[in-house]
Amino acid sequence: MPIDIISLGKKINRCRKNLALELSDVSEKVGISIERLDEIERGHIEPTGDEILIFADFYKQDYKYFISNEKLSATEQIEVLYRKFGDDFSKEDRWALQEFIYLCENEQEILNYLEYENVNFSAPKYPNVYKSQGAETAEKLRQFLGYKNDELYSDLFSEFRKIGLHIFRRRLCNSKVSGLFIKHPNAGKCILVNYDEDTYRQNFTLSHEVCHALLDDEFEFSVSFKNDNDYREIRANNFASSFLIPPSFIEKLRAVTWNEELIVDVANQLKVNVQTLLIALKSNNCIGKSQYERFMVLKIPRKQKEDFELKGVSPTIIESKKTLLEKGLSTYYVRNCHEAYKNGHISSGRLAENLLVDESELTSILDLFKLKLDYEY
Amino acid sequence: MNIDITEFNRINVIDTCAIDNLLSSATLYRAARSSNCSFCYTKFVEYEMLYKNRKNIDEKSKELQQKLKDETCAKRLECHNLSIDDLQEIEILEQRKRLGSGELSSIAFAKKINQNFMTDDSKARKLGGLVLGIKRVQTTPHLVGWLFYKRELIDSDFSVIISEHQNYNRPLSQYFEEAYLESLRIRSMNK
Repeated sequence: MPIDIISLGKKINRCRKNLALELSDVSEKVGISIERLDEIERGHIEPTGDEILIFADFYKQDYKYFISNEKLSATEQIEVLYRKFGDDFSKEDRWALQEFIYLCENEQEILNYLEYENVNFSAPKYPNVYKSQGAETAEKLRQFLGYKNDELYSDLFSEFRKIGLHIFRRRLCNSKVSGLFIKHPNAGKCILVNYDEDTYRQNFTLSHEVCHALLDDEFEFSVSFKNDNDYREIRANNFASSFLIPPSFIEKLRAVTWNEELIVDVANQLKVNVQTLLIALKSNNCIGKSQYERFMVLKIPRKQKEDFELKGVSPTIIESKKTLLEKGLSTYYVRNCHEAYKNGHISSGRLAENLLVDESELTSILDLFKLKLDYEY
Repeated sequence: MNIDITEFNRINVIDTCAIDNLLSSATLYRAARSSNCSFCYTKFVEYEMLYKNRKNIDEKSKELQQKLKDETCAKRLECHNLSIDDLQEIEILEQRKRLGSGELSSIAFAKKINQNFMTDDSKARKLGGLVLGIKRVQTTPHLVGWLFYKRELIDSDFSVIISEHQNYNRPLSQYFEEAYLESLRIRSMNK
C-alpha cells in the first residue's frame, strides 16, 4: 500500500506536539538528525521502516497507526484533551498520560491472548443528569458483582477490572488532575488515577472515574479536577461515596455512639478519608452538624492508609512495588504480561516493552513478583 | 529444544540481546568470524543498543555498546534499514504486538534478504519461526555448539568463553555448557 507521507508526517508531528517536545529533544533521544526529523514531519521525505519503529517506540504507539488509515490510537482524543486542558498538564504528566494509554493498549492485547472474558455490566442510561443516579448505579453494580448487604471489598481495583475497565495509577507531578477517563478506540474504557494523592483519596477517585466510564461514556474523555462542581462530577461523587460506603453498611451504624476513635476505625475499615465518611454519615442523618464539625479535624496519617493493591506485600519489597505502581505497573498487569510470555504469546523483548523497561532491567522487576524468564539451548 | 549443532547458517540478522551475548565473549566472536559467519543488525537495534533510554546502564553494558560501535566502524558488523513496505508484510504486522520491536525489525530484515534471524529468547525464536521457518532462527548457544563441533573452538576455549560471558553479566552460561556437551557427545559418537 502506498504511503501518504504528508499524513504520516502529520501523525508524527502530532505525537511530538502532544508531548510538548521540541525537535531537538526528540533528535537527541532517537539518534535521527533534527533536519531529517523536520523533513519527515513536513512530509517532504519518507522515513525508513526502522525509523517508523523508532517513532512508534519513542512515542509509545502501535507502528501500524503510522502506516495505515485505521484508527488505532487515542492520539486524536489526547490532542483534543490538551486543546481543552493543556495548561493543566506539565511535560512530565503528558509522558505519564501517553504511557498510561500505552499500558491500556498492551493490557487489552494481553487479555485477548489469555482469552480473558469480562463480565458485561450494562449501566442504566439516563436522559438527564441527577445526583441520585450515582447511588442507584453504585447499588446496581454492587449487586451485579455479587456483594450482599454490608459486605466490603477485598480489592476495589480487581472488582472494577472484572467489568472490563483498564485501570492504572501514575504519579502526576504537577497536575491539578485527580483522575481521568478515556474511551480508547481499541482498548475500550481506560481509567487513570493520580498516584500522587493519598491512598484513600485514590480509592475515591477510582470510583468517581468508574462512574464516568459507566454513565458518561458518550464522551471520548473526561478529566476530573480537584473540587470540580459540574453536575456530572457531582453524580460521579455520589456514585463513589455510595459504592465505597454502601447504604446498607451505614444502616448498620445508625444506632452507634460516635467518637473520634470509632470514626477513624470505620474510615480505615472502608478505606476512605474521614471527610468522605462524615459527608455520608451526615447526609444519612447518622450524625448531626456539631458532630460533623467536631470530627472534621480528624486525619488518618498517610502511612496508616492501606493500599488495596499492596495488601500482604512483604515490607522488604513494598517500596520497590510502590515505585512500580506509580509508573502504572500493578501486580495484575505485570502478572498477566508474564503469563502471556510464559504461554508463548509474547517474547521477552515485548515483555520488556510492555513493562516500560529494557531487557536488562526485566529480571529485577520479575524478581519482585517471583517470576522468571525462560532461556533454552 | 532440539537443535542440530552439526549445522549452522552463517549469515544472520541478530537482535539486541544476541548481539550482547555474542560480543560478550571475544573468543567466541573471533571463532565465529574466522568460520566465515557474518552478522548484521537493523537501525532499530542500533537505536535500542545506543540511544534508547536505559535507566540503569552499567559499565559492562557501556563496554558492549562501544564494541558494537567499533565493530560497525571496522565494517565487521553492518547496520541496515528496513523500508516501510517491509513493515507492511502481513506476517510482520500480525506479529507486531507479540515481539519486541528489535526482534520484529530483525525478523523483517531476515525475511527481506532471505537470511537467518539470531535471537536468544525462546519465545522470539518460536514466533520468528512462524515467519521465517524454524530452521532460519538460530541462537548463540547453537553457534557455540557448532563451533565446538567443527573444532573452530577447542576444549580449552570453553572455560574462557564462560568466564568472558559471565564477566559481562550475561545469562547463557548454562546453555553454552549444554551446547558444548552436546558437541562432545556427537563427536564421540562419530569416532
